[in-house]
Amino acid sequence: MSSGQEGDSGRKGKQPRLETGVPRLDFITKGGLIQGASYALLGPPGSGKTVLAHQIAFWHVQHGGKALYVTLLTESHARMLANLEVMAFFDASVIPDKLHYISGYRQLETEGLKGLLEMIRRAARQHQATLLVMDGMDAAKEFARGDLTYKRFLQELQTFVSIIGCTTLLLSPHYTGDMPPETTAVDGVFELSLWLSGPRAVRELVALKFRGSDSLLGKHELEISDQGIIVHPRTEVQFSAPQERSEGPRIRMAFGVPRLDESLHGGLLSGSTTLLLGAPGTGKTLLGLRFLLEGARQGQPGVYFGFYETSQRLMEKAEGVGMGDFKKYVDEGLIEIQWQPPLEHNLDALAERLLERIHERNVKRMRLFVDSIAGFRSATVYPERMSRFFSALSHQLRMMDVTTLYSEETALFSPDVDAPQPDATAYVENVILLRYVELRSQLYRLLSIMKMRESQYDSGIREFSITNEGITVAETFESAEAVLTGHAILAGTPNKSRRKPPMGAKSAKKKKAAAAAKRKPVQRRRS
Amino acid sequence: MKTVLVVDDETDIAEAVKSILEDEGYKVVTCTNGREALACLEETRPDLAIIDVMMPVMNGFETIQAIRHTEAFATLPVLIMSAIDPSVRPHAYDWAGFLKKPFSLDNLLTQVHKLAPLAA
Repeated sequence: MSSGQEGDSGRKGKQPRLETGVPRLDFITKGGLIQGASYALLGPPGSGKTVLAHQIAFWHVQHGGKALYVTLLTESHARMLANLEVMAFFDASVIPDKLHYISGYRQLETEGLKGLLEMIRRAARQHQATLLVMDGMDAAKEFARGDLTYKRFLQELQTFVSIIGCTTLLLSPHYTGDMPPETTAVDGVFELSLWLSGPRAVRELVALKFRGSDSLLGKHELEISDQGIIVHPRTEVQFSAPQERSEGPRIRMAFGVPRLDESLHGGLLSGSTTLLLGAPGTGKTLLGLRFLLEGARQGQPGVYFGFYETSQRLMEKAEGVGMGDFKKYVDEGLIEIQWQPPLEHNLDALAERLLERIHERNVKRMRLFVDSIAGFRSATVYPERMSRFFSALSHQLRMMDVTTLYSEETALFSPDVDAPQPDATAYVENVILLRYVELRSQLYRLLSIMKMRESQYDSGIREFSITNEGITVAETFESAEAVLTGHAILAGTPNKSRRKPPMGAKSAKKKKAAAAAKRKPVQRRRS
Repeated sequence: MKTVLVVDDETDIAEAVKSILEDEGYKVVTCTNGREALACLEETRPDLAIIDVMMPVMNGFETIQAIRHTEAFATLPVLIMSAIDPSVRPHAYDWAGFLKKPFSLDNLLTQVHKLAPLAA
């Protein structure tokens, strides 16, 4: 051999990537599109193909690249740009020097696919394009005599763009069900969809194929706003292998409610997840707030992530039950209230918001109260995802050393403990059940620890009360042995038939009477 | 004008190289195998041959060998184009350069300009 030359060493090993600038799309592709590769963007009209391609193109040229946007029988360039002007990513200053538009339809009409290919080759080199977008590929498909001719065109285009290192996006209208020829010819396929789940419009991005790299294939919801497109990767695939962030030995996280903490042998283990299960009004939210308050008193930061009560109402609620310093810790920022307004939410966006906030705060021994699981459940369009979703979310929180309480509602009037998501108890370490028991026209609140993984606990059922002085847990409630089946009835023994009123009821009555005595008589005005 | 002979059974690659080199100012002739290439040598009288290795009818090494046995083209610069490094082969066919597929535009142009420089 005389003078063997080295090959293109740049192609060896890790392939260079093209960042898209589309939030979380590069997370799905684990680093961005592969430079010089070609990708099909498929989807019905209105699904966001043009917005997505433009968002990528603007990002690309704003970061040193050059883009060529070729249209084939789509809306006019002027109309397209007018629609895009409202988007935050739009930047007129890069047009036409860095982002150049040409229409290829005339060339296609007069010289067919060969002429179009030649025009693209010349334009791409002339403009030194590092990103090529071809919008309206259905027109090119129409001009091909069949799928084979079209595939041949795609192959020739791909070979060319690969040599010049120009990443290519091919946009085609597509309806779910048929498999367009480009899916086999290109390096990657992203399908956008728009459908109705009840009254709600759902947009999704499906990563069908991504050659040359690991990726998170499958469906991911996306949002389009004037900020552009945001992709929300499925939580359960995002955190399938979370990194552990060890914070040293685990500690006990108390509620500050003496007998409850004793039953928990000092409190919940840090980094654990706990389900507070109970009917509406049993005190789940108050117990959760008590958990955050106790943490704050010990200097541990806390986050309330709720769906139903505003910050103001929560603080009033806390103040009304002996947690007067709750507001102080909120004002100091030790307790943060993350209220999700009653809008249509996206399940994965909620998880992202929660995890990102925790990540941003970057504090140790964080306490989190999610009030409630139902808020997440109502945000999903795939109920069958919930178990995997919560399992992944809980695992991620655990790895971040966050001690989490989830509240979950059971039916208000049911003798059985029917959790809306029965398998929820499998992905949490601890389950605390709060219940009402009706006995001789009186309602009693009962609390029991049903499960506590990795720790000893007292399984006795205890009565508890919520008064304006706080939450108090009593000794084991001896007459409520049948509470879990909801059949708490009198055994017939004389002493049991003289059941005391519920805890706190007496003092509440006394206070009411004292308050009434203090109150001045109402002065009636004579007419 | 310098003439480049591109020999590759993958016509999309041959056509892409043709398009790029024509833009640079070269005259480009494409063939799909070694036998075709040998047949058109006399007519085209190339200044450079870019030859793929794995081709039907006559592979790249055989084609180079045949070119070397043709007196008029015994010293024709040849750029080997292959996914496999030709240095792994025990034979030497006196090629002037190697383009590893897939190759970049820079690598292609650097090698072509070096082996068949255009007049200033």
